[in-house]
Amino acid sequence: MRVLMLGWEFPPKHIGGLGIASYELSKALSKKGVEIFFVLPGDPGKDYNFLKIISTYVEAVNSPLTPYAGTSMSLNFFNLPREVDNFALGVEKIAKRLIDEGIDLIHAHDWMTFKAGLLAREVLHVPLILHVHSTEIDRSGGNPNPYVYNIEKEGMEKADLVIAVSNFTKKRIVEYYGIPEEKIKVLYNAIEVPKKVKRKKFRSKVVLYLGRFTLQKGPDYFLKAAKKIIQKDPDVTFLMVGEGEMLGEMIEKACRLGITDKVFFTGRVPDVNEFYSIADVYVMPSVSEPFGLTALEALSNKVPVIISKQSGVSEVLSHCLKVDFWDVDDIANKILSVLKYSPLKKMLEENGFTEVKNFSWDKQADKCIEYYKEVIKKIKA
Amino acid sequence: MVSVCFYLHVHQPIRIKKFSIFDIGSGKGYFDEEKNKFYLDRIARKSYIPTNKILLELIKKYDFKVSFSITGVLLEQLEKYAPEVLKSFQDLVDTGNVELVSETYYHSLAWVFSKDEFRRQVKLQEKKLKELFGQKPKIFRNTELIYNDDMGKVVSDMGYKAVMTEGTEKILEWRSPCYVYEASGSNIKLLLKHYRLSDDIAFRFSTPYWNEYPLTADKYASWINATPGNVINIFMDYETFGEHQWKETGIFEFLKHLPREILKNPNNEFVLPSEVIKKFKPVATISVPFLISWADTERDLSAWIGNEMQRTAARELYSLENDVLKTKDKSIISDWRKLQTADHFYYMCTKWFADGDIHKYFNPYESPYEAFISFMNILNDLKNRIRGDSMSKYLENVPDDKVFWCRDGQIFKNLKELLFGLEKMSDETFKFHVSKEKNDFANWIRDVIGDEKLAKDIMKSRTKKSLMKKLSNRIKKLEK
Repeated sequence: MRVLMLGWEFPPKHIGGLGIASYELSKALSKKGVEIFFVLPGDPGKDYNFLKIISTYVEAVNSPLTPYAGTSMSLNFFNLPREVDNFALGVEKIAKRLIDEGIDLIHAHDWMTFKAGLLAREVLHVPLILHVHSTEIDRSGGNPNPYVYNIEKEGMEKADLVIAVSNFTKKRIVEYYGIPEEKIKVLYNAIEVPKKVKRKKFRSKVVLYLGRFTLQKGPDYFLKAAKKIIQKDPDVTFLMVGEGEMLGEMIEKACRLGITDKVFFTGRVPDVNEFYSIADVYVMPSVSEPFGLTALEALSNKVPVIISKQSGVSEVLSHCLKVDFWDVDDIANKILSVLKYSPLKKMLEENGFTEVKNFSWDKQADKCIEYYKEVIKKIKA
Repeated sequence: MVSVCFYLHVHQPIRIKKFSIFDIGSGKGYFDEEKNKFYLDRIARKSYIPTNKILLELIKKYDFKVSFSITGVLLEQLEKYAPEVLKSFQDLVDTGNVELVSETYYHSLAWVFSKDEFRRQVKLQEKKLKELFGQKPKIFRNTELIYNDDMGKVVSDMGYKAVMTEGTEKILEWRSPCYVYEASGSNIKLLLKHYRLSDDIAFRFSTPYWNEYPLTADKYASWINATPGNVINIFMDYETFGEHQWKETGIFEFLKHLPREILKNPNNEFVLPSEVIKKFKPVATISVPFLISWADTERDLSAWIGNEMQRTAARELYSLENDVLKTKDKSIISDWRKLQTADHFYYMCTKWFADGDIHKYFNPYESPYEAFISFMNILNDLKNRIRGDSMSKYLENVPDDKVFWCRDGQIFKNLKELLFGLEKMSDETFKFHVSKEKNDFANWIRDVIGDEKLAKDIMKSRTKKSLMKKLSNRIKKLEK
């Protein structure tokens, strides 16, 4: 089977879950004999032996495309519509060259590539699958940017199949985009558990936040919980890893709450594993989380997790603690409990690690191929 | 001649509330009255009321006999929420065809953790049965039919004639459960559950893919007739009727017809457990050096103390025994005992979702981890109550507007920071805060931290060294 895959970010340069997920899925698919032509707006700066990477930047020399540089999307949002359009034109050109390559379908990841997917379908006349890793509704906290929302809506309406990363996301797509339920399939993200897990001692107990500083990720709920915890148990350090539009506001808030001696902001870090290795508990207080790959990352590093019920990953995890993001008392209670009751921490860690081993990309690739076959059959019929 | 000994275990736990760390020391109660009443009303309607009605009719119509164990914690709840159900049990006992079997009042695992507490709870149960039913029990069953030889000795010494336990191959090996046996090390008799015939009703009755489905009373009677031996012990949870097996499965019709079908064979009869041991001599001695139960395929205690959370919670609970009893405070003692009910530990069990299926069993909590958190928080609250205060709160941070502003610019939010700060403090600064006229630290500790004992202690300290020593000793004690 030959697939034209359209992505926006790719390791080693990636921003978030989207880059990791599209990379891991492609790798697992290619192991199963799927041939992938992966088109990206920029050059990841590295060659991969399991797929052919085509960069629209390199290919479409005439387009004034800004190369992908690993900055946060929101920062250069004003350039984004142009980049999205240029990418689509680049993909169209590439598709024309691939007409005789026997492409079976197009698989496009997130809204930035949806326009490109539609144009490529015009050229290749094969089924189009749109893979939704997050929606504008999640990212914007319910105030969608109409430009992005419309691209998503139109794309999903016109696509032959929509893949959502969770039932949580599927529901969003049905409710907010009016896409019929039977057109949407769920494909959960997965994780490859590291062969060796590093654990390091730290001078105090460590509670970890790791994610973009946006409304969607709920960093303010984390801070409020921290304040409550510090009053009970002063011997706890809170690490907030990541950057984003709310970072400044959060630092100010920590100052106002008088907890700057216990809460540390690291900004963007090169290696998140360093932080997992000292964490006693990972907290993901997301307001609206399509999946939440970091929860699996934490578990695979033997860190117990507390996750928001408003997340896709909470559908598939049993060995964790679940909270409502707004229930700061409950978040604080659960963090303190994990820190205080060692058997709880140990069991969450051990059982969570065992559980996360079952989330393999290999299984997800099988499922994805199933979806491929279904959509090809449907279109032929 | 086959005797059928039909025995039902009746129990509902007193469930605990969701209890947060922030609830510790707040005076919030442990038990969820509303939820307990809700569950009791539901089970009374679905199971107790219709089943007792049928049992009473059966006793009037046939020579039908049944034995019950009703836990103290359920009896308490019946008295409180459903006196009419209690009355229906009393009416059944008054017929003379019902025998009451004894156990631990709190449906606890006391036998595993404290023999003394075990005896006390058995005594409490005897007292309750006497008070409500006027019966003195002669037969004993432990929580979940947990049993070993030593337990046989202890209940034999308490005057019991027989113990009910599981007829598992683990102890029977090649032998049949359909005879009376004698315990090793005491001469107490053993009545062993015929688990296949019991589970046919309790677990398999409504299972469509079971090859005997649907189970009818005459089919079941034919199995009884075909079973060799003296006595068939059919033991199960009372809640089988109407709750585990819903009315819609036909379980009540089955029960209504069962005695008639069994008694169609003139050689069959229903017997009470104390009649069994009068009627039949033991055929052999059985040794049970290890603990067994009637639970799961393992027939062990892994559903209650199989994981580390469960073992920790149980150990910590029972480690409070002496301190709890010393308080002589009725509400502390009763709360401590209600926390011993085995169900609380069952809710912390993780072995069922090894395969990811968490919906296999009923759990009022979202997960076993949540069950553990509430239980441990309650235990810590109980510890505070036992100590008569909540000393651990003295280690917490004070509100932002009550912090100690030291003359050298340091700010202290809690006792540890004060201790740390004193170390760095110059004598001059110290003397500014502590003099003949005043002791700012003692005042702050008294008025803001609230630890009057410590405040009194350091009020007289004139040197930094002595103040620090007293402070550090106190912190060590508070941290215990």
